[in-house]
Amino acid sequence: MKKILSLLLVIALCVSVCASVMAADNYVPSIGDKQEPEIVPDGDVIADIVEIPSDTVVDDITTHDACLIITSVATAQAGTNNIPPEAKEILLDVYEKLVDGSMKIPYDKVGKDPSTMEIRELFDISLICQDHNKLLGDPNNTLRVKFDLGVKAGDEVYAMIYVDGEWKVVRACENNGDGTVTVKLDELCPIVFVVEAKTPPAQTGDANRDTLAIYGGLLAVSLVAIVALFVVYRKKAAKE
Amino acid sequence: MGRRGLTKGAFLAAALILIFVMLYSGLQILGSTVLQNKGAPVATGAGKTVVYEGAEYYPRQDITVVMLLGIDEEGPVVESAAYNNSGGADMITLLIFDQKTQTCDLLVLNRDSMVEMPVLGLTGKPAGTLYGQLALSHTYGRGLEDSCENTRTTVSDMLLGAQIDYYFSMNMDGIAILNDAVGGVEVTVRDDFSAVDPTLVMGQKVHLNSQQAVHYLRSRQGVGTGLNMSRMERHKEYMRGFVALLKENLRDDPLYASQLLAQVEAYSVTDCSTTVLNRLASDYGDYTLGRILSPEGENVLGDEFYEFHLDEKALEKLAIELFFDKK
Repeated sequence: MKKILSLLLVIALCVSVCASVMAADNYVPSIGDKQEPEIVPDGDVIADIVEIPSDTVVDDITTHDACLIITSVATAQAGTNNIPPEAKEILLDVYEKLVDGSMKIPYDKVGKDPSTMEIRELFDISLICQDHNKLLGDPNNTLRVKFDLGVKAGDEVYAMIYVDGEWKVVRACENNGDGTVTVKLDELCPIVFVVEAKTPPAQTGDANRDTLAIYGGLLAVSLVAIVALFVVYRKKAAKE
Repeated sequence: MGRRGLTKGAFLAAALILIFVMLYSGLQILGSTVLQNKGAPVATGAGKTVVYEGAEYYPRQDITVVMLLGIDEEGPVVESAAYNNSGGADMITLLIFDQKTQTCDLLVLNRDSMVEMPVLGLTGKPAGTLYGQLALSHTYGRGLEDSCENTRTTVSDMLLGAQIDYYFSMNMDGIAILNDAVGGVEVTVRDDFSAVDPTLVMGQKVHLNSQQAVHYLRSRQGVGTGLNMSRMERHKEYMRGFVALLKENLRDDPLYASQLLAQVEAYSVTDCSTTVLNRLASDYGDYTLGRILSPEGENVLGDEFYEFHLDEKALEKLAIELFFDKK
């Protein structure tokens, strides 16, 4: 009897512990900030190395491989992942230069006017496993990966990679129409996704600048005109 | 009139027109420089008429709307070193001061509301849009005025282009300071806080100290259902109490609002100058607290996070009622 009671007590204890664990597991965290764009996996596969141009899969990179490292600028600054040090340095250097304007994206390579474009995402993509890197090193192969960028169907999206001091257009960049974009990359490095910049509504500062430009010009022209009018009138009056 | 008279008349007319143009231009320039204060309402792309159920509506001119944001960041406001930031807008409330009824309605928005929002790119320009939780709108930009403006635009667009005149955002640590500054807000504890703060006993009236206020307003994990919607109810309850205490303090000291702002300045971002804030307090400090409203919708668990899907028809109706008048 005592043994049965003890067993029942143990079972009751286990159930209550499990219940509290399950209750805690019901908590759903709030969505936080979106750091690096998320890769959209196909089951376990987060990217694959394919042959050009047949797209025959040569190799899969899975979540278990832990080989593909995506690093946002913020993550690189925080130093919270295992991006290779040289890749981190390049990413942060590129970021600083793009922000201070000393580096420009060559939008002409995608036939776009720079004044109409904006960088939606800048991040690094690195492959840290030797065997995958070897396969990607073959000029007949390319890395295919799908990112969730949240872009709208029909949005024009372009991708460029920064290699050997130069921005190059990626082999392929396709807006899948569901917010995701699939790219094919021959080399891995900092990558930018660029889109059309929409003009924001005028803020106070902008409105002020526009107002000053327009009405300042009008004031100046009116002043010149009234002076000219006066001079002409005086000359005419003097002749008569 | 002789030919000379006609010519003189023409010159006079031309001169008068030019003088008028000069005066008008001068006034416009003065209006946007010397006479403008920092807190002047900003055109957000709003101010347009809308058509609702076949009738035309224009933005109400007899309301002032202030957007309050509670940002999920600790410590003082710091500009992000990246082109986006980690501070989601966990609390988004509009104060609607109605000059006609001399009341202030509160519109409390769910941070998980699924909306279209501008994405700010690397150089700060808009770079398309994103459909996601409203809280994310503040994570674009560097966490300062740019992020607040992004949230203002998002909220305005969500409400048919309603004009939002001012904004005030505050990091979490500001809660403690504000709570203590007004003398501590009293609440009847709505949820089970035993796992988070045993001093907050469910069902009991508690005069919140700074720490309790932070727990009461911020905590979700391990509290009651753990849902944001429960937390929103606590926000509403707290705001009722806070507003009452604020009004009391304003009666004794008309400059109280700006003094309060000064205490949380390091934790906040606003487009209100001290002058504007004191003017708002003076103009609206006596208003009665009106309704506390929230848009209807459905809270569902998405792939990873909760999503609040707004009832678009109900939201339209609410936006028309609060922000527009029929033509």
